[in-house]
Amino acid sequence: MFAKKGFSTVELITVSAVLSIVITLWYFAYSQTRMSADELEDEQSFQALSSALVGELRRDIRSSFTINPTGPNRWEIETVSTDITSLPVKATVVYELSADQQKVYVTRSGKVKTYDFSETTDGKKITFNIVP
Amino acid sequence: MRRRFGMILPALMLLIFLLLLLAATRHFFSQHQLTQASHGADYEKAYHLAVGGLESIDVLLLKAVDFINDGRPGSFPKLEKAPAELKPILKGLLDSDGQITPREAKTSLDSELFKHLQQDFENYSSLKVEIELRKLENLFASPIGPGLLTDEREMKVMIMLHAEASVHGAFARVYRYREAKVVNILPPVVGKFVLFLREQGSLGADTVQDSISGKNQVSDSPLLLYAGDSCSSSSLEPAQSRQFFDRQGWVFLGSEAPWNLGCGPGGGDDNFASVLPGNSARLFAIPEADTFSDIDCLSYYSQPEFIFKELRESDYHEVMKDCNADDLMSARIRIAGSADRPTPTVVLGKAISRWTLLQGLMNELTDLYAPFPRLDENSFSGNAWPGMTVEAVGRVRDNFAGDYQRYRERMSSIVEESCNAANLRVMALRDPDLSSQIGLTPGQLPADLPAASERALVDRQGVSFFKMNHGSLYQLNCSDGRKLFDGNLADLEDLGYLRARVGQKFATAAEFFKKIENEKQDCILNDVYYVAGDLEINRSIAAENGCGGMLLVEGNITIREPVSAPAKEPVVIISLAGNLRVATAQPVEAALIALKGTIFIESSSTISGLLAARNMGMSRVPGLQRRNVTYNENLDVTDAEACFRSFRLYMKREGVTFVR
Repeated sequence: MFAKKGFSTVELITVSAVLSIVITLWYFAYSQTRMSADELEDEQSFQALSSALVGELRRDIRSSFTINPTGPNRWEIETVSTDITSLPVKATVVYELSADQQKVYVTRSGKVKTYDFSETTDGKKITFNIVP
Repeated sequence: MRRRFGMILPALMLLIFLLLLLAATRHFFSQHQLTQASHGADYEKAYHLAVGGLESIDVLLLKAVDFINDGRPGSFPKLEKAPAELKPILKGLLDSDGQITPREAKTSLDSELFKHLQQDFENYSSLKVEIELRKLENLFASPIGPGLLTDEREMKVMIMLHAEASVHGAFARVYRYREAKVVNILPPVVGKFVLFLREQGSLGADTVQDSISGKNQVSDSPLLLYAGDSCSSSSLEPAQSRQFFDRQGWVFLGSEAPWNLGCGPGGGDDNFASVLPGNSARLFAIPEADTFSDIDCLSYYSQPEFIFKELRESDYHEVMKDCNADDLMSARIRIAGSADRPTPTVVLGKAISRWTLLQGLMNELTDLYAPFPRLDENSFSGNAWPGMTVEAVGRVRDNFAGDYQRYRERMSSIVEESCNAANLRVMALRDPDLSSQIGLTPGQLPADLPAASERALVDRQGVSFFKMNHGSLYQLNCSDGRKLFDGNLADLEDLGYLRARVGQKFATAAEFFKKIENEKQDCILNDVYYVAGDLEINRSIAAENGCGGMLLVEGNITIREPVSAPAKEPVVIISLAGNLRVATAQPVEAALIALKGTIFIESSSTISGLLAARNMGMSRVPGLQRRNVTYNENLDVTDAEACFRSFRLYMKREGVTFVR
């Protein structure tokens, strides 16, 4: 009897096939996971950004005297702020949606704060509207 | 047989691991989103909880401010008399004396409602509401005008409610603030006076032809000033006199020319008659040097009498026929009330009271009086004495040995004295001789009699209750020692600085009336208002709940409808640069002020408050119609209590809410 050495062709083919399937499956699962993670991360970022923006807007609206649309995508909110002595003072806050509809600028006391949604929307335009 | 290991199982396990990882990632993000959403929901709950707390306290704050602004004496001391629900807020606004006082620290407030609110939300919630009263600035920049001194208790303040709520660790802070003014609604300085006239103008102070015969015989209706408490002759205890006179509404009559104010009988009606210095005759024994001393039943008599037209007629033996017609005119202003309701007061200025002193012979058997007519020296030498036969003239002249000076002392005449001298007659003097004297002078008074005010000085001397108070430097003090004015009262004309008290401004009268009209279409005053133009009060306006108010008008004011202050709360109507016309006979319960112009009283009128103007005009109203001004003691700026009760906290009902 000769001792059997090595694998038979059938075996090699079978193993290769199984490995291919496993690798394919693993790659598919990995890419799906990455894609989902990316999507979730974007969604999370969008949620966080939009939540912060809406929170700020809600605070301004709740403290507002007037809300005036001053352009197609621009609103001025006359609101109340506090000075360094904690005295309430009137302040004007401007909310403006950028022309590419990817960013929202909030101008308060001359300082501009940008809510940049461009990396969270995958190039899609956002809708931002204040209805007084 | 050799055991062979395959790859399938590890591969499957790897696959399962990857799938689990995917699921875990999904779960993690989902849970994060849920947590975020939950936190957002908790924040919203906390926000609404804070708003609920804020609103509930805000309702109480408005009630508390209404309570503070209630100037009725029964509501003092405020902290003691306040309803229980308002006490925590009042403790945040008032000091222990009840004065509106800003402070550094916030005052924590509590309400039963908070517990209900918290239960409505979550068990794991908290709610805290605080009130803050912060001073922003003084109301007036100093100095504000010649002689005028301001009160630093008048200021701009901010009232802020802080509400902080948390639900499951989510915090919401909501604030509501109002800018408010702490103002005193009393008119400065002139609030002490029932009548304040800087000059005589064309009033014609002494031009009423009065009559003893009836109302219809009187040529004009005088203005009766009721200065406060009534006090009849010889009834005021000396120990009480200072307090009494200091509480009364005083009179200021400016100008260097004297104000002659004749006492008139008001058609014989005590409701319109002046208050006479005394109305009983005093008898004097006839000296032996006089020939009439031989007749036992005769005495000399002296009797104060009004000034009226009949004194020239036969009923009164024509005793004053020798006078000019002008000398027999009486005043258009009755300083100290009327004969039926005397209200003694203190006059600042050169004010002369004029009255007739009837003198002559009295027969004690027949109770007949034979007055000696007023004569000049030439007439005395002649035989044509008014109301007397030639024979009687001869006997009287012989009685005085033909000496005019001796006759003059006993003849009837017009007496002129300081208006304040009349106050001597209300004193209850222990000495019966003093009590019965007609020509009592301040020098005859007991030394311990308080004769000067503690509230005012004229040329550095205390204002006398009995002598003339005329000078160029007046000082007015409050009973608590605060100095209110230091200058010439006649120069007091610009009250423009009071604009700093204004809470609501209007360009037109229509806007003003629209604003003060409530849902019942009543016009209610409860703030300091400013109208830029003229104002015609052609709708009745009222104060209520003891609050009162002030109305500043740049131009002219015409009052055609009643102004009411049912609780005698101070209502002050000021024309800053124009005139003020009272064109209604209906009650006007207000202080009427036009220091740069004229106050004109068109017809009969009933004013409860005071009048203050550059000068005054009155239409002629023959036949005696009621025209009176009754002092409202709540306007007395020199009374510390009245002044204290007149502080108001005026603010808009709507606050500004904001969140942080």
